[in-house]
Amino acid sequence: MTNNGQERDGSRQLSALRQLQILDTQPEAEFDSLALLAARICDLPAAFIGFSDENRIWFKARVGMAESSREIPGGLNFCRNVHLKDKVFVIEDTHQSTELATNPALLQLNIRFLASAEIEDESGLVVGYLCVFDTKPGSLTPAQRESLHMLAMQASALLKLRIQLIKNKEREYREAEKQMRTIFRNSIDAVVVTDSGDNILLWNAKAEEIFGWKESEVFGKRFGKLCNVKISFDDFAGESRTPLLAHKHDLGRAVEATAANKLGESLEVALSISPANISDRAYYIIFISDITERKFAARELDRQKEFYENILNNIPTDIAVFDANHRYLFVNPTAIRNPELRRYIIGKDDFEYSRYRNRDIAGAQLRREKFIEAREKAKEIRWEDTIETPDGNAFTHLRRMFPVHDEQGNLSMVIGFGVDITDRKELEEKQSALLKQLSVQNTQLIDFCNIVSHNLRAPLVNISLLVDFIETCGEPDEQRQLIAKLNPVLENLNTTFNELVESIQIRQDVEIQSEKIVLEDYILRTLESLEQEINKSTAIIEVDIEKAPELRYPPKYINSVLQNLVSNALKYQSPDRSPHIRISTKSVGNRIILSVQDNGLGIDLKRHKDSLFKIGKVFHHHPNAKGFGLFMIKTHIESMGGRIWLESKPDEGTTFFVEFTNQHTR
Amino acid sequence: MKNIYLVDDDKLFIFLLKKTIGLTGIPTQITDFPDGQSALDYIKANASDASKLPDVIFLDLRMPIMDGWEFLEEYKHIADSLAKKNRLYVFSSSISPYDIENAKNNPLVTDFIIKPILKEKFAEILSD
Repeated sequence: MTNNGQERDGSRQLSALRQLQILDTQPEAEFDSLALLAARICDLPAAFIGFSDENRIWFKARVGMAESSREIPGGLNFCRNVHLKDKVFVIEDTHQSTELATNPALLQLNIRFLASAEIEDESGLVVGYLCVFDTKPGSLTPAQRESLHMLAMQASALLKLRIQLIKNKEREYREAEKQMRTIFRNSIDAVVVTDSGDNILLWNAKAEEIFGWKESEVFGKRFGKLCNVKISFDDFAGESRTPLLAHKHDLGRAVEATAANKLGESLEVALSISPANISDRAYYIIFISDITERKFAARELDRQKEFYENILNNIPTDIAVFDANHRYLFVNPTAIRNPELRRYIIGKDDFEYSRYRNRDIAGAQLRREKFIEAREKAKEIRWEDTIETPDGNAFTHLRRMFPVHDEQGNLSMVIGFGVDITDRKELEEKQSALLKQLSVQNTQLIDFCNIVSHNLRAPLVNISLLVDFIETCGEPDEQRQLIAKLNPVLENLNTTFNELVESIQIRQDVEIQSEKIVLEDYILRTLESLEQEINKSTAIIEVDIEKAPELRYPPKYINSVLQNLVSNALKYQSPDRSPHIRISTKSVGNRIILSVQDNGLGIDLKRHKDSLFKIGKVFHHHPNAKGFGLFMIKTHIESMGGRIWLESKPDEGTTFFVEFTNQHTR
Repeated sequence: MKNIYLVDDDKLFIFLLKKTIGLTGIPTQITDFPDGQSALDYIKANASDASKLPDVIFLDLRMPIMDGWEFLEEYKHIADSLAKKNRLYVFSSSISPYDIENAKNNPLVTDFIIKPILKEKFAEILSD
């Protein structure tokens, strides 16, 4: 072998040893056992497994050698013998060769006898030796020699196993590294690794995407400065701020910041910074996600929320949202003006709220019933409720409850609406009263037409018949007699006509005004106008109006009421007794009731109850009974919102009652 | 001889009616009542005496105490039990379509006659 060849082998050996990663490692039991076994089999005091690199011998295993000497200067060239057939080389006495006798390594180990067997790597290259030795000359038996060879082969096998393990580990490591790199490259977040001075070391694809800079463009640049990163409470773009930030804030916690991309466009980002120590050097791993769109969406959502809340808060409709158990989830300020109460009611029900506000729980009960109804019907329900406030004002609301179901058909919430319809309600009531009045007036109009046709037509028919007879009658006496009959009919016609005209006038008097009426004056005037009849019948008139001496009413109407009721009482007096008439008033709340009581003929109420106040209705044969009076005053009284009714018994007397409303509020 | 009841509170009209019937020359016996109640009482009192019951009743609608409608309401309960059947004419100065319709729809009423009533009409009614 040439020197060159030796050198080439030496460098190959070195690289093989490096690959084996065996130099400077801890002792291993397998190698120790092999060395011990070799010493025992060869019956020698010492053995070692040695490897040599450039200028030292390093012992992986030692038997019978000083503990401290894990290596010695020199090489293992003395173990080599290219001519060997069985790969075991034996030096029976080093002193027989000058070269060996002066070898520093052999001298240091005090070796006189040495037997060595080659240890090969997987490629068959000799990388080390298993040696047994003695301090005095010696020899090996052929069996010992063969055993030594077999033990060296065992050591070679250990090395092969070792290289296999190393290769596996390396493959695993490469695989892991590849995976790490893939993760790094494909991370959803941008990942930037900087050194402690904020200088960029690694920059993944997502970072390129977000910031627009290529990795090659950013290497070594300061991240905060390059991308103008600004956190609201810190200026990350300042000089080397990353470590500062790391000190100030919880590491690993995401913070929101603004940044800029390569084009200088502003971005909103979330970033979290993790410190890392690799081989005693500090790094920062920064994870960045672009939240510009999310922030935009969030702002848009906020804006919409504000928009809808604005509507909900300003809509003149009460709105409440309930969960499936009728607990409040939301109420708008129209429903509850006081913000504290509005907060209080959330999560509670109407019963708790009623107790809290010291209110009658009847309202809560009603709403609970309605809620259950809406829940069970699974559709919108409506109702009206009227609340009276302590100051006596009534408010009417149209309320609606609208159940909302989720995709599985379960009740998720119920939305309640309430609209104040007090004004509408009042209008409706007015309209309904007006309609009622109109319908009454229409009935009266029909009655009126009937009475016109009867009361005017009847005398006209009589006149026309009379005139016929007068014309055809030949006898002057009879003619005179017939002519005499004409006059009362004409007079009657005239009176009827006047009364009808008066009646029409009153009905047209829509705008008639109320005035203060001192009743005594009006009663006296009525009695004066009936003086003749009163005197003639020796009637006793009793007046008791102390309890309500005054009222507010149209003077024309009160005249007509008194005139009709008192004259009726006189007109329908009993032939058996003088009339006794009692006029009295009383006050009932807001109303005044006038009564006129007589002891006259009375009216059979059972028979006449439906037609009492009809126009032209008369109940007795009386020369002046035409049936206008009651009809007329009833019209007056009802047009003023009052009532008229009577109590009567035939042959005992009649009492008329007139109710005047709204006497104390005008 | 036809037995005729006049039920009307208008005395002048009864006078004129009797005179008109007289002009027809048909022999009649006429009884008049000032209201429905007195006519009803009389009929009830003579329900089994055919000679006193009418052949024809002329009934006015508007009268005191018991008007024509009230009379008809009471009369329907006794009409079938009377010893003698009769015809009943409502006559009135009313020209209200409501009254006319109501009267014509009443099975007790033979016809509704609007006043005045002419001699010829009486002759027609009484000669049946």
